Amino acid sequence: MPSSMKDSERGTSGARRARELARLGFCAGLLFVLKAALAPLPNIEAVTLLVILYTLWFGRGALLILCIFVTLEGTVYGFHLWWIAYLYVWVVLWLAVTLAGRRERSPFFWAALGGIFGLSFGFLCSFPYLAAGGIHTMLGWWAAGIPFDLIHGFANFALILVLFSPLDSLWKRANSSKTK
Amino acid sequence: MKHLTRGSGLTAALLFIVLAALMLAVRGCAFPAAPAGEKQITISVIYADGAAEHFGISTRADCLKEAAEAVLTLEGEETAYGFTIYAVNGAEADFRKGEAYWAIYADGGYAQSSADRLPVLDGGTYAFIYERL
Repeated sequence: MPSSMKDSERGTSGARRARELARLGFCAGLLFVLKAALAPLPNIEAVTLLVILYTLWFGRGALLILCIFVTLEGTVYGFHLWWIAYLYVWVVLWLAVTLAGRRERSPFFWAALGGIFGLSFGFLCSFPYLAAGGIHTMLGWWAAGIPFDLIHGFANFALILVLFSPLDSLWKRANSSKTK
Repeated sequence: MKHLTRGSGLTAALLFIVLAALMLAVRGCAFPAAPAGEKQITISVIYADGAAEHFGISTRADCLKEAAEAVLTLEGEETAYGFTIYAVNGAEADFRKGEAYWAIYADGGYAQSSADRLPVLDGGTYAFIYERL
């Protein structure tokens, strides 16, 4: 293979990589902005919906989105105890979607998964309190937040049920028109 | 395949509903509602210098905040986590300033909810204690 061809191939793959990185960065920004926009509504967020979609669309690339998102959250709001939970809580969702996404699933399934994640969010986030104050502090903190977890779970369920299909179709249409 | 997909969705939805019901039950057990009627309780305040005040009161209030406001002046604000106290009887312990906060104790144990969500039980002892961060 002539070296000029190798160079052009390398250039093409470099450009593709740069485009992919820019796309992941944009998705992380969107995640952060949407979370901030919905912050006045207690525990109603689009992060779960987007993380599910990003995981299905980008696979491991979604982990890079999560890294950027979590770093942005810590930088803007401070690296407090909740931030430690952010280091793993979204990865748990990514893992669940990756495992469940091996088979074709209905939007109803993803809505239920997002709902379960919302319900479990407080419990998942309570582990740093186990280290900080023991099992009673952890369970007490979790139990006190159960009403918020219930809102979180049902809001996730409704939001994903309504928005999953249109967003996924839009993505698939955009990608199929690009490959044509 | 379509049957499998629909089945897994229904199973997940069922799990979601069961989990929500379980969490409601846990919440109900962890935070029982205050019984109606007259209750005899003791409220203590321990200030930064160790000075203490004790009040034995009779109340029909449902939550500690409502009961305590009969004998104390509580300053604070409603937050997503309930009423956050910044000052008791004018003595400030504002956690936002990073130095101290007003800890709430119920029957000798660290209370797991804010004063406006803590049920008042007959014979209960409650304390607002200045604690350094």
